[in-house]
Amino acid sequence: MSSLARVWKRDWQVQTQNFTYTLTPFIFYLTVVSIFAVSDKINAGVVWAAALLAVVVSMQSMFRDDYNSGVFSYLLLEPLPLPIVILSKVICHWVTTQLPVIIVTPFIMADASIVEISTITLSLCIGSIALSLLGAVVAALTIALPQGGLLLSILSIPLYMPMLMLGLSSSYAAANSLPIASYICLMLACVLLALSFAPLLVSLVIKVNMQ
Amino acid sequence: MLEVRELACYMGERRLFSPVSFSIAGGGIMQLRGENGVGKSTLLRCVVGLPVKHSGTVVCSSSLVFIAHQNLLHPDLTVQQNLDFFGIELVGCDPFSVSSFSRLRVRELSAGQRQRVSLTRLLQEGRSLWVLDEPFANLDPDGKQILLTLIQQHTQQQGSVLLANHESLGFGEQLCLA
Repeated sequence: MSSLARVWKRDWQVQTQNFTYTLTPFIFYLTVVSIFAVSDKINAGVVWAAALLAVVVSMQSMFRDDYNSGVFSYLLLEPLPLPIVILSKVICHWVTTQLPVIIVTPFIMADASIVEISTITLSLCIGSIALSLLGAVVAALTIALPQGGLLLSILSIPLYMPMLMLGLSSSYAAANSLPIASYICLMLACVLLALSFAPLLVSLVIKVNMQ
Repeated sequence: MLEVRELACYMGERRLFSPVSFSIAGGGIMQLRGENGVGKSTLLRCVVGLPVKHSGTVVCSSSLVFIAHQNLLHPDLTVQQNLDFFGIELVGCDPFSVSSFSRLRVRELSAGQRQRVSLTRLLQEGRSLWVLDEPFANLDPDGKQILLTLIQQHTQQQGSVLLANHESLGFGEQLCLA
């Protein structure tokens, strides 16, 4: 088994064997949406805000265990480049914490039109990848702080605002029968941009923290 | 196999110890001694190539395994799952008798058992230089004897060992940091 496959397998086992990691953002998302559902119908703004907060909640556990147990020291000495490891960790984290949120979204927006539901699901799918990559950078910055959760929230939410606005704009455009392609393309561009720098930046920050 | 020239490590602007030079050839053992906080662990981290502020040069011509204070084990995974991550199979080679508790989660293990699991990484193939940071910590007398035997066998097979330890092994070279 290759080094990358072993990293993926370990992360997958950690995420799926301890349900705290996977269930916390999912239940948090459902709770926030349910609170708003009591007073008003669930719209794109509620769904996006809840999904964004669920990402913030899930980010705190992304690298901390590996940092505390010294696994990053081990990985630095292995031939596999650390940015590739980081990317693998972000993808695993997205699959186990964000994908369940995306899958359940069409069901909680049952009274919206098919176009609205498909647009918000698509925008969440693309946007959450960018949120995970940006969140990884902030998680790395706060990795060595004993109480980094609050700082992580304060630092990450402003970074998430462009994706939130693009996601909401695409949903409102779909609701008004306007084209959404430009918003989706911009979100994809943000994902590509985040993909190009986030793994490198996370690696750098982790190395600095290890000194 | 390993050559260190005028190596000094720094914590911020503070130099931890006077510059040291040593080399370890195949079959050699170098034991680092010194008071707590003198920089033994930092020197080992520097030698293996981890990011440490330092002056001097380190030339390592062989693959190594580094056993540090941190045990690299995830508490939510079983011992076997942790060993799978390092590509270690216990079948036919289990000097620390780890297989007897390999199905337990790491969080259920004692400190000594965790150290035994961590030391099992010495069995990774093709690692001719062992860098060990206080490897006898938490081990019972049996565990200590097993590790001593492994170290001797490794050096007899032309492997090398660099370790930081408070008690003398009784063999090999020693270097005192100050």
